[in-house]
Amino acid sequence: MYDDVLSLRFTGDTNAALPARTKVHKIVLINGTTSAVASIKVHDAATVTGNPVAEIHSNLLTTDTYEKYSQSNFQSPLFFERGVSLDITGTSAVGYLYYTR
Amino acid sequence: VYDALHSKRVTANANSTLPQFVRVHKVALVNGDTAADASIKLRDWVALYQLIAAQDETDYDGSGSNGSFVGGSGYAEEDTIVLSDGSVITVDAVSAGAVTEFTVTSVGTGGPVAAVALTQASTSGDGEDFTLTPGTANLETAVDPAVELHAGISAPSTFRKFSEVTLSPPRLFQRAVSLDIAGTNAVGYIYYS
Repeated sequence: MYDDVLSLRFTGDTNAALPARTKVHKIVLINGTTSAVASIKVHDAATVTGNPVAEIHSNLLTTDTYEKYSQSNFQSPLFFERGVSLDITGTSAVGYLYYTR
Repeated sequence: VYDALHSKRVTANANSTLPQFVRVHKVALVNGDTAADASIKLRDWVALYQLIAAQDETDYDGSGSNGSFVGGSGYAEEDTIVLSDGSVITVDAVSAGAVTEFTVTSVGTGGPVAAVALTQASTSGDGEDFTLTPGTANLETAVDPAVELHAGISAPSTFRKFSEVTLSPPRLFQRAVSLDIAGTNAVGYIYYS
């Protein structure tokens, strides 16, 4: 079993948002404007470099409306060896990471 | 309770992208072009493709999607040739030592790829330099997918940008994880332990 999760809220790109050996259980994306796409890319690195190890995007719901809320669960958490760095796109997008250490 | 997950990012077809005894907990797909579908298929095998058994030189005549072959030299009828993917060719006819007719008598697991020549690994005789270059008409998928994910439609004429499937409990791949991914600029993520 795992400890209770902690949460990290972020609104901009962040290097080393969480330290090495973090376990991420869930990624949530809130799209600030549903007229355009939003996304989060999560890197296992001290900076936002290289390829992400996880990403999430808001999907188009109707012809011109995107999802307000998107999430991706890791029922066994995703292990970050080097640290968690975040790349978030989209107008007024907000991200949440739920994690344990 | 399983160990924490690792991530494998993929953008192209791959044989044995993960080794045997991997447990896949989740697969995610990012569609690079939402005007069309994208997909990812995971197969529990060391290779995506294998040669089609019992084909012969007429299936390797270079026409259409057929592959081709180079007859080499020094061969005799009934020689067997083991190719670099482990497949075995039986020589049915020769002309001045060059193979002119043959049959694919067994298929290997080395993961042949279209338009890439298979070379001789060994032979029962003395011949050398026979090569077999499969075309798409000479290849078949080795096994059916164990996991398959598509982008799917999210709005009229538009496909989903992001899709995922969670496997709980995870799917155990006993032999390896080989995958094919389709779609313009599609990116897949395999989360495994």
